[in-house]
Amino acid sequence: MKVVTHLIFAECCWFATSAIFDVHYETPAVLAAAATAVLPDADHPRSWLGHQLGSVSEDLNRLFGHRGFLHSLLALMLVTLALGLPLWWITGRISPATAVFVGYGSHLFADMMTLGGVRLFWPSRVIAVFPGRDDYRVRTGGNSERVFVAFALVFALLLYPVSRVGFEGLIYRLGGDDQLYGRVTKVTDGDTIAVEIGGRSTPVRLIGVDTPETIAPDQPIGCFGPRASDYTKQILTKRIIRLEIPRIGDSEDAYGRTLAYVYLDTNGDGRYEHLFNEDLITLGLARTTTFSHAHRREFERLREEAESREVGLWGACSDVST
Amino acid sequence: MDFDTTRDRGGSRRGSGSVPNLVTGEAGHPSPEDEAFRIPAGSRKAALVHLALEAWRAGLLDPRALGEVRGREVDQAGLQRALYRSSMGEIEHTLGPVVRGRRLVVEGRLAGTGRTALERLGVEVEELRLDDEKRYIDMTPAIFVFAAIAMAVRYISLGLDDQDLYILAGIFFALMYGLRPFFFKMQRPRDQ
Repeated sequence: MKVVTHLIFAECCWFATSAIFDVHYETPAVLAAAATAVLPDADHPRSWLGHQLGSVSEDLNRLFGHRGFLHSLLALMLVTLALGLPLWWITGRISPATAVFVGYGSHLFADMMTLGGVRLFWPSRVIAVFPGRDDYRVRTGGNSERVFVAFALVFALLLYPVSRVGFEGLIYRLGGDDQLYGRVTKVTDGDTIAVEIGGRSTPVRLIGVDTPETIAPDQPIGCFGPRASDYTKQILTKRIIRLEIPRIGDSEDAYGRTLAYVYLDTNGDGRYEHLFNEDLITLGLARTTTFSHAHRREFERLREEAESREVGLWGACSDVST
Repeated sequence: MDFDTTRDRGGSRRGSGSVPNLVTGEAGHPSPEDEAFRIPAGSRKAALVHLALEAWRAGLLDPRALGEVRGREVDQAGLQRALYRSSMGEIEHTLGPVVRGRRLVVEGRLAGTGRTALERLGVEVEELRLDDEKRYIDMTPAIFVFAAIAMAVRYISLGLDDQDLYILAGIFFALMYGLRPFFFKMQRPRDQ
């Protein structure tokens, strides 16, 4: 297959991986997937990479032949170890290492779908093909490859936004939510408020954020807890807010508090679109929770940024668990 | 049903000591120097039929031992038809005692369980393969492994009370199950 086909298919696979598994979508990971997707063709002197490598590619071709060792499971493991582990160590994240595996693996999988197949179990001479029937496999450079690359491109474009929010985020978004408007009557804690809705006060727990404790009777006051509580009081007290309550999952926690996202109208245009939960994380006033919800991926990214900037509790408190 | 397909009724038959006029003799003859049978590659049944024909040509097999022959005298075409109509168990039962310990050269690769079936009869099987022969392995069945994993994950997610994992595994499994006929169609036909 052509280099463009491998690049698009690799990104498609990477977006699918990051959508399903809990690996963050990041630029280094996208680049790692793209770079390793062209690597196996180093054994083909007429390929794009083969032209760049010159005599090295010819030597590799002489030694192993095209779609030999470099297109095997053994090479996949070795490349993941040789490139993935250093990337993991350098970036401190597992996603680039995973991207190396996915990028390289996508090349093997794509070539397996061509008429020639690959020697996946090298040094065995057996040729692995998928699907088995020759008529359904792709002819390199032919119309079938154009169709293949078009499908890969469409899937990559569809999966890109899903990879940002994760599959769980997509499920929660598809499930929809209920909207309620009310006035904040009391701020109990940094992440707990009371909202008057239809003349009745409802306790609300903000989804996805966890500010240090300030009022729990059996727990000490947490580092940065009062600051978080003060900030919530300052912003939310007596303010009209929009509550967004997801339809999927529990609508109340174990203490009977309604689980909701809190939206503010910050510019006075009557559109409550500013997510207050995010502010708490961006300012380093809250940690993130681990359970699934619609904005978990975004909250995780904001928490990582706050952590790296050492703002709020990340800079002031010595022992903070994420 | 008459299985006596002999065209030359006046000619001599096996059992009276002479070799019949072979119609399809491409399978070859036992080499006189090593007395090895030689058969073309094919499925398990084809291999047994060809081996039986070879044994018949060598005068080792009495066609009347086969039920489908019904005690009549047959030529090669008739015997071949009778063999194909017989069960593999019956062919193996008839063939076993006469080919035990014999060497068999197969011109190519025996598909499926052909080799095992012949070896069970006590035949020393040698498959002739080209140096650059390409052997393919169809990875399509791996899809069914993924489907099984998806099904297992659904139960795991129930145990973990993980709603989105349950939905994801459910969608994936439904997709696999719905496309099942297509996946069967995608599989590589058996090598001839």
